[in-house]
Amino acid sequence: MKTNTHLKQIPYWLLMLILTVLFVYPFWWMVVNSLNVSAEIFGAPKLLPTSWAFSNYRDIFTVQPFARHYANTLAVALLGTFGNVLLSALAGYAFARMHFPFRNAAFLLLLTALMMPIEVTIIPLFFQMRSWGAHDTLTPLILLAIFGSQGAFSTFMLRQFYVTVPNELEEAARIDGLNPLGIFVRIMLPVAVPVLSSVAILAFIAVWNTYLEPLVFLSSLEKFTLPLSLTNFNDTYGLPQWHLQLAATTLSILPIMVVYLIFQQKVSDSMVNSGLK
Amino acid sequence: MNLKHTKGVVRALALLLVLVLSMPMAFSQGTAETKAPAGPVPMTIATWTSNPDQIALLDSFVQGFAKEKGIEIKATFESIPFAEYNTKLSLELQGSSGPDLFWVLETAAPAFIQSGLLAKLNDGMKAYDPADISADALQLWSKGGDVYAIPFSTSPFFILYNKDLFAKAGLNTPEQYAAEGTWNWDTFRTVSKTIKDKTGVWGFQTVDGQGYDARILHNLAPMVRSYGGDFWTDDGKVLINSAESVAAVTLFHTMVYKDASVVPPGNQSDFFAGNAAMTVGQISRVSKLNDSAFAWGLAPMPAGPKGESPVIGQAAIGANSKGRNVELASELVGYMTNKSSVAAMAGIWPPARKSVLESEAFLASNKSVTKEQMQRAVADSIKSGRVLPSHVKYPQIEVESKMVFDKLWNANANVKAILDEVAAIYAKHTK
Amino acid sequence: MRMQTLKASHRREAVIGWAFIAPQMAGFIIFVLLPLASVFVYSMQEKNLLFGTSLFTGLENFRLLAKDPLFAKSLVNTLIFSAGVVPLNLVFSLLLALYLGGGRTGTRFVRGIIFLPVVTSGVAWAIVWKYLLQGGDAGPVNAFLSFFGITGPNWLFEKGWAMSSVIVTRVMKNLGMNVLIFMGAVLNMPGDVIEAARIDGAKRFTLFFKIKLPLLMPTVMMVTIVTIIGSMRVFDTIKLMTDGGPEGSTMVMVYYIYHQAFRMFDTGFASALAVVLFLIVLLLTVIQWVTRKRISYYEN
Repeated sequence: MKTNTHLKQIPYWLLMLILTVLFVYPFWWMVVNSLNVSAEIFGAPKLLPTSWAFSNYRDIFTVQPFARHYANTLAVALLGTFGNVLLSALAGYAFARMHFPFRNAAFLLLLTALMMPIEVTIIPLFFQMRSWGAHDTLTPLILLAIFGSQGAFSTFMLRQFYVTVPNELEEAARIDGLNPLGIFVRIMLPVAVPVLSSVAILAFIAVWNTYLEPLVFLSSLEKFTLPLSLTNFNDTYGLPQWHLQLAATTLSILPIMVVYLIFQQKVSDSMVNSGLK
Repeated sequence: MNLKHTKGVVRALALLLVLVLSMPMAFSQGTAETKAPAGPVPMTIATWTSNPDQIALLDSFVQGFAKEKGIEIKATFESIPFAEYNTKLSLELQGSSGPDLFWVLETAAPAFIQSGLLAKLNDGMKAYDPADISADALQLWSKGGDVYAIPFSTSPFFILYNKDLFAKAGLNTPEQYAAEGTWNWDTFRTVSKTIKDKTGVWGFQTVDGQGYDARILHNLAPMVRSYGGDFWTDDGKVLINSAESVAAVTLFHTMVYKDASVVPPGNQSDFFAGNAAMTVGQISRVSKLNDSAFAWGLAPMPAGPKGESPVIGQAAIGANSKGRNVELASELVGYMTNKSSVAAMAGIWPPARKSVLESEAFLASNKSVTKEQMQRAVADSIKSGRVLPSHVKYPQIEVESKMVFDKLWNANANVKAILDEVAAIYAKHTK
Repeated sequence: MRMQTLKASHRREAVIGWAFIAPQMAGFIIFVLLPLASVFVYSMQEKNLLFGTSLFTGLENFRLLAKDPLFAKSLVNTLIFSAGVVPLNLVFSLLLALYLGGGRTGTRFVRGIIFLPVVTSGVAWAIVWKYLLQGGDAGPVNAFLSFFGITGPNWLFEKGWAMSSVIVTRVMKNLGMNVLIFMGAVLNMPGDVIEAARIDGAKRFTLFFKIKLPLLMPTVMMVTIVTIIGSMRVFDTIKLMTDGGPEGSTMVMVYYIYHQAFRMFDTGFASALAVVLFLIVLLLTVIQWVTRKRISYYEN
């Protein structure tokens, strides 16, 4: 009997091992080599850093205005997420609980925005932003974070949520004399906090990681965001400086990782309960 | 619940909308069309270098020019990374706030000239002895008698090698072979293989590690041309699939796949980190070896059956034809390429000015390079070398041919057949 | 009297409703609909980014498109890519969700690490894997394989392997998201139905295909469509790992659009490509909408 259960365990633990190697090793490798000098990164892969070159982490700030890039990305992500969540909560609630003409048509239109790859509209957006004088600024990035497909996605998620909210809440509030805005702010927002936070987290991560938009809309070095910055740790002639690139990559992933690991339970719970049916 | 409340709600939301939309606007720190303040003239200069010493040097020229003119100039340097340089620069030049001056890559010269984005420099450079600039060097940058950009760097590619590794493999150095007159592609192949076999280190890394993609022409040209072949000529002949060209490319292919002495595609081993014994570089790369852990030297490119045919990379400065101060910018370009500026830059960017090139000072201009090396690998090569082929449709040619060149990079490639395909692409565009 | 009050309250609600959706919709109109319309306009122009020209040429771009071998290639590659990513992603995430849903030791740990690539930027993931997949024995993947005596190919530089590598790295990146979604669906499966089937003697296989899968169908459909559409967004991976090569074997639609617009400066042609991409996405959206209705109807 016992051997049977033990045998059954083997494939399970084997799977665990494989998954751990597949999903953890790339990060392990990255951190280890971020502490090596360039020459050491090539050759037989090792499990621990050999040069312990902490100077890499100092150098990334001198080779590029990396701190500035970090700040840029943070600004875009925070502002974008804030706008995204606020506007999509408003719209999501309205789509779910209010009746107005063209509601379904508008929602369908929104769904198209959800599905639309940014590559389809990037060219006209480029010309549009340039004619507004917003080329090489962070503005387009923030606007797209709020109104692009991420915005549509958040609206969709919130609408799905608000559909499930019982009518009694609104009725009670109405009886209490609150106007629609009041109902929204005092009742609907608080009740949606779990969904709002997962929408916010997802939006934040998505905006933090966008690559095509900064690539197209930014050109001068100081305005770069992290994804662009990471690919720019090349020397003057375009040869990548791996030790710097890896140190910068590690540093750029770190905050997201930390936030994720802390809120992991919350994130996975909200994904699990997202009602994406 | 009456109409008054609804209006209030609507107003509140409208206000919210305005607030949210205006928030990001506050962020747009760029391109405000402010009136030029009565103060220093602003000049933006776009380059692909971010090396602070080089930028400081360029700035010193700007200040020298300002002093000469009796005005104040505030120069802002915009470093656009090399890989995206052409794209980003063209995008900026289309807008209303593009850079006033910018570097131009030789491969993009025809396209930029055609685009009308470069201002004519004939007047601006008049004061700075235009006849001193070698006519060959200017050829690429002129059209119909008008000069559109002035080359500031005419820099040949040469061999950089790791002295320690050669010693370890018990071989003569490339410089010694060159002195004997035996530095040719066969010798090159032999030493590469010997080093790989004896030390385990790669014999050769292609130029900047990009010899299979971004710099494939830089990589193949010295071999192809020294064998007597070429890519395409200005009068419409396509030579990439001639017997000589095929022989040259086959040699390289053999070195990569049979001898296994060349750093293969995708492998990131780097000469400057000590992981390859030789590579190809220009004088501006030499500064990367200042802190190297190994002894190094430089030698000319190996010779082929038809002699030496070094590749010269050129870079020029141009002025934005849509800029705010086109006349001033044109003169600044002239100043930045005058005798004193060129002499000051000669150690990093070899000059196109005959007077400077032939001076003793030039040979001694780079502290890390001996006079003999400078003479042999740089000065002589400028005389005998040629720039890469260029064409108005270079971007298309480059992209289409790259896809065919990709087929070369496996062990069983049929070099002749592949080069025939490339020839068809060249023919299609250069007619 | 009553009629009037009804109308008035409806009107009120309509105005409020519109006001609430106004900001989002306004932005959507400006930043999605308008550009979309512009794409159609540009696709009928010869519009060069470098020369700044803009000439109406009608359907010329589309004619060129039809003859362009690289367009056909990019279309095929996009299909291959999606056909690779979507089934792999779905199958593995579903299986993992079922297998791990049991709450055994280490499940939380696995859930955590599987989601790590999801939160990592695509750029970082591509950089790391570009390195890991180096050819010869320089790359850790090949070094690992040589342990078992297998000589790994030059992953990113050989025709078939490049696409496979991109597919696998992409699947690994997004797997975690689907695993979590499926876990949620699995948890919400009506336990009694499954128990009843098990008591009736249904074996693992039958249990899965006849009971569990149908119950999960709505989620599976949703996730499939989302994954298909998400599989189009592979720009950063392609740009950083293979640049469309080797031999154009990883040139997918979205990359070809960028390539044409910003490398070849032909924004007119690129817009024509964008139109095609849009139509494909539209088709998929419609399919999803229709099948969704069908499935929910089937459920009821």
